[in-house]
Amino acid sequence: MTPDKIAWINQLVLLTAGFFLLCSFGLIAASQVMGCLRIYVMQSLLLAASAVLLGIDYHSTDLWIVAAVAIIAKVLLIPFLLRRTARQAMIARRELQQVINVPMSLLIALALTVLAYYLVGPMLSETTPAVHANLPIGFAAVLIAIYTITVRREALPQMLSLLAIENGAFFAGIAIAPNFPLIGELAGTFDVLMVVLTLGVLSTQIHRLSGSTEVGTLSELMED
Amino acid sequence: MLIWLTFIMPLLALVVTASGTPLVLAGWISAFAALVNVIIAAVLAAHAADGAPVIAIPHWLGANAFGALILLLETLGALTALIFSIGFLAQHGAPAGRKRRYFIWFNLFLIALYAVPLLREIALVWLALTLTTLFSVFLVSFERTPAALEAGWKYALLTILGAAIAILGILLLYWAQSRAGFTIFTWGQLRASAPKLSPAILNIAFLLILIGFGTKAALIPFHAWLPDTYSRAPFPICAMLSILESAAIPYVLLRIAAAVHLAPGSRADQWLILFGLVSAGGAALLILQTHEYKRLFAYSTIENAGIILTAGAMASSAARHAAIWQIISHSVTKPLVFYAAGIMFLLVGKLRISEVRGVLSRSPWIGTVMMAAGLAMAGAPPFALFLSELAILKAGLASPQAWAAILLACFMIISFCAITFHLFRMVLGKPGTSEAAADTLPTTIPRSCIAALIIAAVPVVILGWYIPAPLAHWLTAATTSLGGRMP
Repeated sequence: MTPDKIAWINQLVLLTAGFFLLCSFGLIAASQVMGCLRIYVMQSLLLAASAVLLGIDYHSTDLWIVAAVAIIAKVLLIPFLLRRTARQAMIARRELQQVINVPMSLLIALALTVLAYYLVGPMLSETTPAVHANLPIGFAAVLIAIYTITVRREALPQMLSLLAIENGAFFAGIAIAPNFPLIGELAGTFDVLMVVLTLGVLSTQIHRLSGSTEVGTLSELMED
Repeated sequence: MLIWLTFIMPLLALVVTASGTPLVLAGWISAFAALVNVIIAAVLAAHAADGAPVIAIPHWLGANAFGALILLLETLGALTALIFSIGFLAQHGAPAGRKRRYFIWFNLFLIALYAVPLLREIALVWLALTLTTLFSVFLVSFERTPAALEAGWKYALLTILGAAIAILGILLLYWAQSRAGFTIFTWGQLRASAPKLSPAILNIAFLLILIGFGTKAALIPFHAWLPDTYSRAPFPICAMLSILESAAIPYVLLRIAAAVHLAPGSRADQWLILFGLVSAGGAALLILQTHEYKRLFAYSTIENAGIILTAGAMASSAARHAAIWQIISHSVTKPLVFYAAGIMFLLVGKLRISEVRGVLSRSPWIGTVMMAAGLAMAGAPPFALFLSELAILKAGLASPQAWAAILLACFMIISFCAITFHLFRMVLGKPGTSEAAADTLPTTIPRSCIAALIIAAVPVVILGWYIPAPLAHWLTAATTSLGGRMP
């Protein structure tokens, strides 16, 4: 590849990373369940796009397979499974409850992003530009998604944030470990599908018994 | 072949259960499969202790001395938990379909649990640990009450959250290894490559893995899911979760730490000691103020996980030896306690400590068993935990981290006093009028529950006197596999 082309791909990698981070912020701000799901699907698409770009960059066909698996599992299968297992909660059109309001949450997410860059900083010496883009943003996505879980009160948004953590981890992963054995990525994807199935069924059971999926209001078991 | 059989047995039991065999028969077949696995695990442990690990597929599947020992403890717990489940389900009012699914999920859970010590690729160990969560969610929420579902939800959400953090750590570990030119990511390679890895990456990677798996092991302060899960899950499930938290996960963490600490500038051991001490101390205080006896036992599990991690990270092979000993004695003791409590629950029908009084006067044998099991858990002689805790303190005081051993001793004393205080109030005490009225509850204890109790009691009593020679050999081999030498 010519140096021009490499620089161009690196620009694209950076751009993808930027949009990926934007999706993490979107997941905090989304006010309806369907919106959360759409943002999650978008984020997974960006993960796949980043894997394709890095596949070109690193000459790794494994990453192309990773991209294909991500699209099949996260863009196609997960929305399908969720509609199957937790239909009612998915289509409910109402405002989602949050413990902390959205502007404040976005500020906290911004602070978490800075923290991620600070944490990752010492690891970035002598690395490729792709690592510079993906590693801190993957870290930031993980931190923001953990924060999102704690402020969301309903089952499905919590679950989607959980899946976003996994996205963040693998977004960092594709840059730092391109020759990571494929089985690892497949294991991760398999795991994500199992999570969706299990938690989807569980949230439906909760819905059926208590008429709502607001797990945040479940407080029967607090230690008194 | 033996390793394959380990997975085939629960798989067969699962198929038999799913194919519509009468429920009790399905339960006994599952228990029989677990019994076969106990024997397999013992044979594996004997082979692995003689030197080279037993390998089924190079780089993927195999057991070293430590792994085989953990497998043995898991299978032993599974055996008694399945036998106890037969009686537990027989007196339970749940519909037959849900009871059948109980055994199906249980066997799936066992496959994942057995895979943890047998897999050699670290990312797959991670997958197996996550699957143990997913397969046990419906076991935890078996009662299907809103509270049980809530417990299942918290359990799944928080432990999977931990798993997602851990995978980031594992990816960083891979990154460090591939930068140093290593391409195979097994336990052995991790150990071989550790001295050449970048400490900046390694330290963050280990911290993420510790936090991630620590959440699954409910180390303090990542234990938010634990009180609910334990107070709602059926008793045999509590026993299995205890083994998962205090045997399987410490196994993974100690094994990663044993490799990572070889890197110059690694802080793995300090972090293990820090998290271990915080967990042991925090759990001792939580035991003091808890209101439910199931939670009390759960906190005691955290305390033991903390003790094991602290001792396992001390710079002394005698302390590591004692830590693995503690894994053994805790994994045989805790199921016994949950079975005794399960039987006591059938008698009193209450979970709150303040509502349980005078068990001894209502049923002398249940009271005696509960008292003995509780004392065994608290670490009183002549039971297994007494000897191993003593060994930890002795080795710890002689190690460079004597201060940590002194703190551990304090925590052990606090928890001992707290456990015996709660225990005496429940078992002795005078039954009040409300308790006397509650005696209308069915007090026929299923025979299989009693059988599980007796089987579980055997190792606790034996290990309270001495370690049989073969087990001592396996224990030494497991310690050696962590890179320690016998003093």
